[in-house]
Amino acid sequence: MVSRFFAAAAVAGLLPPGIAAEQEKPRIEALRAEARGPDVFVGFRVAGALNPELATRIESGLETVVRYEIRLYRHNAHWLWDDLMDSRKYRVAVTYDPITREYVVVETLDGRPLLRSTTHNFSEVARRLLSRENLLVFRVRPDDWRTNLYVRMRVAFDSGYLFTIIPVDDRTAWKESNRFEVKTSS
Amino acid sequence: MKLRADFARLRRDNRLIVGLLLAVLVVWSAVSALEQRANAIDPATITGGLLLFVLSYVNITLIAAVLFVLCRILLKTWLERRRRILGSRFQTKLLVTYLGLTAIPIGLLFFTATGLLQRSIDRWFSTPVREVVGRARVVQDMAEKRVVDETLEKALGLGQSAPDPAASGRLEELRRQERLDSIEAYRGVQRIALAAETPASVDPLPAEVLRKAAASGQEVKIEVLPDQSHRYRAVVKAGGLVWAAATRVGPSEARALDAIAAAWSDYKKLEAQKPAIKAANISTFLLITLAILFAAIWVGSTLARRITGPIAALAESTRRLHSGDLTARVDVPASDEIGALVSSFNRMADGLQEARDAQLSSNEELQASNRRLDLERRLLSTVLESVTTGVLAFDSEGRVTVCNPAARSLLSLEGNVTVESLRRRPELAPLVTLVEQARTPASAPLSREITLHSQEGERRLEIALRPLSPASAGERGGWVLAIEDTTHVAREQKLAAWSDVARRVAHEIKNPLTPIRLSAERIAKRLRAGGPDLPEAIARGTKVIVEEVDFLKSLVDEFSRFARLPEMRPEPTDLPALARRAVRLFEGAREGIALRVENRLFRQTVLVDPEQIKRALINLLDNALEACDASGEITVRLSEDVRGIAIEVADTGRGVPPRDRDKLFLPDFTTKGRGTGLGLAIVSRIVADHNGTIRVEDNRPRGARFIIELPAA
Repeated sequence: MVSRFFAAAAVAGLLPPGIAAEQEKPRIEALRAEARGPDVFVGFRVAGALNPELATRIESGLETVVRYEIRLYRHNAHWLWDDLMDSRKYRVAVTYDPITREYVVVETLDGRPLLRSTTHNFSEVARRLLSRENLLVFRVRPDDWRTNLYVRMRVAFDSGYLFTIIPVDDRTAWKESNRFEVKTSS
Repeated sequence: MKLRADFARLRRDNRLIVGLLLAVLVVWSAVSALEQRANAIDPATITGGLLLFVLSYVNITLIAAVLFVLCRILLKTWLERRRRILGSRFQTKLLVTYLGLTAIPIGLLFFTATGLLQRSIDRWFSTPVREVVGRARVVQDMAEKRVVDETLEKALGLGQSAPDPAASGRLEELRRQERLDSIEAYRGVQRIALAAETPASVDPLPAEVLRKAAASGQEVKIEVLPDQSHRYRAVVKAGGLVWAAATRVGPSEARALDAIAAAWSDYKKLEAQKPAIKAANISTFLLITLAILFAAIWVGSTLARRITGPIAALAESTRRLHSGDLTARVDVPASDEIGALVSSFNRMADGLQEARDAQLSSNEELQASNRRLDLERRLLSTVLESVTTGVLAFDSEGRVTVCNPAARSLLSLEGNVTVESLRRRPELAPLVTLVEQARTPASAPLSREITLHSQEGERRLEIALRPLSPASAGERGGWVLAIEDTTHVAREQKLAAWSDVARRVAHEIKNPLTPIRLSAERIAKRLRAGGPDLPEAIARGTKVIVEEVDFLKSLVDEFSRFARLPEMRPEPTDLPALARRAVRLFEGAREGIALRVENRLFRQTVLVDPEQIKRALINLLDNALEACDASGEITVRLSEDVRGIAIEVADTGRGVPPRDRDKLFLPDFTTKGRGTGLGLAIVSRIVADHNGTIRVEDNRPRGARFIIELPAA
């Protein structure tokens, strides 16, 4: 997959002006991270992603997938970069059954199923696709760093095609959460 | 060996092309097969799945390959043109032409095909189609809504009537009465009552549905049963219970509804996948186009290289040949006319190298020959410098090219020696005559003896002239004149001859003395004896004495003549008349011998001493007459040419054996019984006094021929 950034950079001069500006770009509005014991929970909300194309795609019955890439970092105040401690891939897929008129939502974390639910309500589907609370993502090991931790996340959507033929993902920029620390139980 | 290498290279090149074509064929076949198989499966799998990505990556790879090959070819061509490598311009033209002829039609075909395809795909989603599908979906919605509404109304009525869940008979009655498929009662998520036509087929509602119903008051769930019928289950909360009523739509009606839903869903999916479908199809076309373009570039490049490669190699080899490297050959695989050209060039180079090798070898031989010639020249020069024989060489034009010191000394020559300088010396006239005679076309090796008079006395020189080997056919290389001082030889010969003559004269004188003495003694004896025959005896004795004395007198006269030949007095002489007078002296001398004179002279008179020449002729005629048998013919032939006068006396007699010819003109030589041996010596002396030569040859068919040659002057 070619990142949108590079794709945009590559075709910046080729696309008709205003195309990119017509649609609101998906972005992560809120990302919160919280440690409960060694467990790290995140909550987030993505805005600008539910455009008509995505809605049409969902209603058509095609499996529509939103992929979240979540990384746990420890901030280094005196170094050029931070330490990557762990990463997860959270995936939400929704499939509409036109006969039973149900949306089937399946959530997985690193390929392991988390939750499967059905609903008739499209707004609930949208909510499930683009927001989440109390998602247990990481478990900090006892020998890991426990202070100055934060989470980075970005979201990828199936998107359009570069030069008509090259499928490209629509991705948000990386979003950083608040800093937190894991308190020792002792 | 070279042929094998060419064949291997050709096979390798062909393998590349064939491999490339096979790869294109395999990719195209795989894509086609995948596309055909994909028609039977979910469009999402086609467009969002492997096919599109495979196509994309293959296309990107091919684009990269085409760009790489193009850039490489362009860069290479640019560099070759910049370096002015021969054949690069032609290669560029060939490549551009080939690419143009290939890429333009392919490009046009690609854009036309993709345009048609896009329009065709757009036509799938035209307004009428969309409207039909949409309205069908609305109809389905309405039908389902009516069923759902009715079921929900019955469920609400059930909740309001609140029958006892434990009264299963009552529930069954209600179900029948309301023509429902099933009636259920739940407490929490626990089903506490069920009345159904086929209870086994009615599964408990999912807890999520029950929760939602509890939360919102009502909920609807649609189920597709194994017989493809639909069951609409309306769930309502009433009091502490949740009541569910279900209506069943038969399989035929349900299939119709499903078909509408499936059609609508498929249409929506297609609409959502429109960009992907376009991408997949355009990718396929692009893949084929790029594959053909890639193959065209490759083939074009290969063809151009195959054509220009030998040309460039030819040019390079020609340059090397021009710079002198004759080992340059064209070692590139080529066929057809180019191959013939390459073969011709290599043969030409072989020929040049062989010619140069031969030339080098010839040069070496020439140098060796020159060294040898130089050695020989120095040797010859040394020999010429040291020999006592004078050597004069003339070229074909008569110019003196060699004159060794001995020649200068013998001929008393000084300074630059030329024929003119020789001609200015009267005593060298025989030599000049000899040279001029030699310049006539039919000249043979000549020799002559001349006598030079100087303050130191008389000098006799033997001159021999030999032609040089001709430089080429029809040319004469010149002449070499060898001059031998034979003065001492002649002196010794003369002494020897005189000694012989004295001995012979003594012998000849001694021979008659014996009969004279015997006759005198016989006369004296007869006188002492007396007798009647005395007078007769005296007469016989005196006769013998007189005869012998006469012989002695003739002998002395002859010797005297030889010894005291008069001084030569040349004067214009009518030579034919002189010859006739000499012949006339012998006419009738012998029966059966014919004498005649043939005159072929053009001039009237010749400058000779008539008495001496007559004497020589008489001697020759006397010898000829002596040599003839009972019958014969003696001819005196007078002729002339540029060299001078020739007097020829030919007979048909016994001839002269070759062994006697060398000593024929010596004073003591004779073949006659009582000859003095001085006749031909006198002739030779006379001829020599006239600066001429005399020789004897065989006469044809028999006899001898004495030829006197006198200079033209």
